[in-house]
Amino acid sequence: LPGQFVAARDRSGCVKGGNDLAKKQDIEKNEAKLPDQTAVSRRDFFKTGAAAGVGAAVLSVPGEATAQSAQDIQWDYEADVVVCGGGASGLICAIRARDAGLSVIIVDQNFDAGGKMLHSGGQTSLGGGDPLQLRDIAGDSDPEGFITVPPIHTPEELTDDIERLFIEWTDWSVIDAAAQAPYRYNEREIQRAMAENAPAARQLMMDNYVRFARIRGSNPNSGISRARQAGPFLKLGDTTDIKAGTITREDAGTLLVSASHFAPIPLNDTSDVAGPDTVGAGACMARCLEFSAREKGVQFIFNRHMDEIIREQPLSGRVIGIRGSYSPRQDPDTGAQLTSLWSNGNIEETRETITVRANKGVMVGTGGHSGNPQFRSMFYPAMREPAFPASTWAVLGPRGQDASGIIAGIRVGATLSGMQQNPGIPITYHIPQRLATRDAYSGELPGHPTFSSRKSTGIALLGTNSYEHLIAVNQVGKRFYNEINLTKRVGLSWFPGGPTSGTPKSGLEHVPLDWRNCEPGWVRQMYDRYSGVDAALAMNEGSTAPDYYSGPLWAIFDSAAVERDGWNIDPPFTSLENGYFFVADTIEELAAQIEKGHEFQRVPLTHLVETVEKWNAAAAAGTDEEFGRGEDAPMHAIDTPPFYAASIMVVWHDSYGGLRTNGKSQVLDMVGEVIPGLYAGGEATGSGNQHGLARAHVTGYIAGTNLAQEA
Amino acid sequence: MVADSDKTPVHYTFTVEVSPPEVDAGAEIVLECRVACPPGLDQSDLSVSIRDVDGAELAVAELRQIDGGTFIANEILLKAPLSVGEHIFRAVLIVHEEDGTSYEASSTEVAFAVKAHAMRLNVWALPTAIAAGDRFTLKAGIKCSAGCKLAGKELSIFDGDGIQVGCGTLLDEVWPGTSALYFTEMEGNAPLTVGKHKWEVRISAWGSGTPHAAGALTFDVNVVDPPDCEVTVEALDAGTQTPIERARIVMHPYRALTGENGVATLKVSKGNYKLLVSGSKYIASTKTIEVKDDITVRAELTLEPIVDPASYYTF
Repeated sequence: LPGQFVAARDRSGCVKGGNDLAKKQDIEKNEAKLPDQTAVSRRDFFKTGAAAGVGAAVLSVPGEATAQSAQDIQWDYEADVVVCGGGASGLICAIRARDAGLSVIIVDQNFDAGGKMLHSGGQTSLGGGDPLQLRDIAGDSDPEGFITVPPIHTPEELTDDIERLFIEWTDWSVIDAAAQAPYRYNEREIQRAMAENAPAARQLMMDNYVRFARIRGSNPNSGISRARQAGPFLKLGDTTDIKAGTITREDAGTLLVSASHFAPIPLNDTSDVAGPDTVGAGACMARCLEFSAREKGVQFIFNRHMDEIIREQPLSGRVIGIRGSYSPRQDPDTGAQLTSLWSNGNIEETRETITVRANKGVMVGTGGHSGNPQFRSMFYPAMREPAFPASTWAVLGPRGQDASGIIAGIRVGATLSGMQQNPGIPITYHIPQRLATRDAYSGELPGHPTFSSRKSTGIALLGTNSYEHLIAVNQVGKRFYNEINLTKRVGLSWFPGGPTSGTPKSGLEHVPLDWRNCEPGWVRQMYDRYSGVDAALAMNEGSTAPDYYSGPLWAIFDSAAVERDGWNIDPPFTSLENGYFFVADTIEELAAQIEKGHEFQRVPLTHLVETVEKWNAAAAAGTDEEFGRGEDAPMHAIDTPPFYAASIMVVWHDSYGGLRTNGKSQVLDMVGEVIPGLYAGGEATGSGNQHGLARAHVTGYIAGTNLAQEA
Repeated sequence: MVADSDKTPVHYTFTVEVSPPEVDAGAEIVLECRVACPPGLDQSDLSVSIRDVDGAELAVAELRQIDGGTFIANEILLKAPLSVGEHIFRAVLIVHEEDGTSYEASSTEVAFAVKAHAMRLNVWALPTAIAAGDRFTLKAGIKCSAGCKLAGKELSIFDGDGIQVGCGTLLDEVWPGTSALYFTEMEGNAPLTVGKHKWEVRISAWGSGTPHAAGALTFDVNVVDPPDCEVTVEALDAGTQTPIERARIVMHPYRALTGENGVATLKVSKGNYKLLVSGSKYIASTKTIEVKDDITVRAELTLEPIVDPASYYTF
């Protein structure tokens, strides 16, 4: 039957066991005689991607499978489409392919579906006249009538078309407030395809239980003349019922109190963009898509890290499957294995290594490289520092965002693109305003199984001004920058744009492709830039060869600061167990505690006592000769015990740059030829530099469409 | 029982590390013993005896094999002596034979230094500007490096000329939120001359029982002219025109927080000031004001911009 799963075939082509579920096969004997021919040299070549230090991504380098003749491989599972990664790109691709009648297996290194989308804000900028824009132009509600607020934008601001979208996504003249032109490097063929498929991708999500609130603004780098961004929501109710669009308060979580397995970050009040008793965040989208995929028969192999893409020949022929290794995660406190929220459609598989055959193709939706310090250091060598994580680190685990899909693609001949786009937007590596947790990008709360990995939500500061209450020091205990400016980022290019975002005219007034948008006089007028993250990553007395790691960063403050700015430093916002928050009676003891208790504190904070004394003298004098504090915000002495140290994190969030693909989401090789049977989407690709989820959604959608057309 | 052995002497490599090498009197030290047996020697029953300078046994620990011929005992806890200075213990390696006899195979010295407990002083809640001659208060606290109870100990304050200007007794309870910071509140009169005065808070050493070193901390007493003007600052949200509570007001060296009504009052001397008004989530306001008489200043603060629209749904 079209769309039914077929059992794995034996080497004669006969179907073994014939029901609608993929079957395991005994491969132990086969694996035992795997020859190791070219594997060594290939492995050695690519092991530069291996992890360095605790907490870094661990790359699997099996190397054996391609050494084996492809036709000799005995497959453990088989499907028309094998999707690597069940996140924003992979889920959409899987649904699209499944809708076309293909059997689909999603392989994911984590224990649950959703990827980064699960803990994201869920904001999705599409456009081009997509169904939401048309809905809001008409002033309509959603099918259930949950949306009761009127459209936020005027019909003119929502009137869009594919041509406009394509032009805006490739508009060289648009700059941000740091005078960088983010759209200039976008691959034109891909952007054209994304523009053409944006409305359909939105429709697919809406057809698969995703309810979008009113359109509000746009995501950065998603065009600036029209409003295109909307986030998902659900209605609070007595049951969590994806079909009905309702969710219980327990599953939705409560702000500052608790999260849930459904949503690692409590869903936010969306009454301003939807209606009363509605809540939203990325989990509303991720869970709805996952629910629909399961309902349609997509199967999931969790706890399975894709190590290798298998091609007929190492660098030629079709891609015919993947090899994956077992990657279970345990609760660090109880040792219990983490399991997915839902289990229908799960294939439980615990063997160390398995192979999955893909009859039509493999789709790489493994996410980006933000969790791989070696890989990301290609863009910024200082970010080889393993002390700094990828956003979503706790939810995705230590192997999340480890560039595995990109590396596996390279190993079968793929080339890269868009690599220069990482430095072009300050949502890649930046300093969030959240202290005292490794996963500083988001405010995960107890309730999700991964909270025990982070143990603290973090102290959410109230803005850049909250930094007036602390000093920021490096690994040797020295200040390095004006704290007030430490987390500041330039205004990004997003609707409605305008002067604070780097463009002279806002929204409807913006003229695409106009040289005046970036003429030097305008740049001089609006230019703005902060270097806090660069100063934070600078070498210091504790940096040593060969990597000269800058080490962790610490916010040092006293109990008066906590009182003055109203910070909640109690659990679960902080933890005295995870090494990211310390309290002491004296500064000397604080320094000793940090050195002893933090996993990446390699050297003593020799200068901390002197730094605090110096700071207190500066506060008493009313001027900070070192870094200019006191001019822009008050200074406060750090003298009231107890004293605190909370981690300041540089977090790598978005990944730009990855596998080079074409307008069909097919992966290309070094000479621009398609690698047959290999597709990729989202942050595993260099498809563009739109922030938010849409790039992943659309490229996944395109991949699903074209996989269905594979012979 | 340890007996002489008639077997051929075996050369063991026996090392002992002490941590920390310098320790507070009476505090805990940790010894790690490591023994490397000669190749081919099948030895599995070793222990170590730690003895003081008089030969009295302080601790005994079994060594466990970690690989091949390497044995360790890595968490031998001992209390350091109370007398300050260099100390030497002796670690003796004992081999236990299968026949039940034992012999001392090797020994090594364990050297470490004992020091008096250090005093870490702190002064806080001292006004940033004190009118000449005015009475003021401050808090002073002390933490012993070993966390000893300090209740009842005397603190003294001296001015820049070394004249004692105040004293206090550490209270029974520790400062809230601390594990062993003993404190007291002290009161005194500011000097009559305007300017920064270097004062010092001191605690004397004592040697009865556990030795404690003397401690001292210098701090500034900032004396200003008596204020003759009153500055009222109103902090408001520029958009909603609603008051901003707990906004920080600084007219160096004067400072205050606004109340529920968004208003703070500062008593200052006439002159020119840079007025900083800062509220959580707002861009701080900076303006220069000239104070010649009582005045009211209105500070309208603008909310910090959203730089990432995705933050609509993240927090």
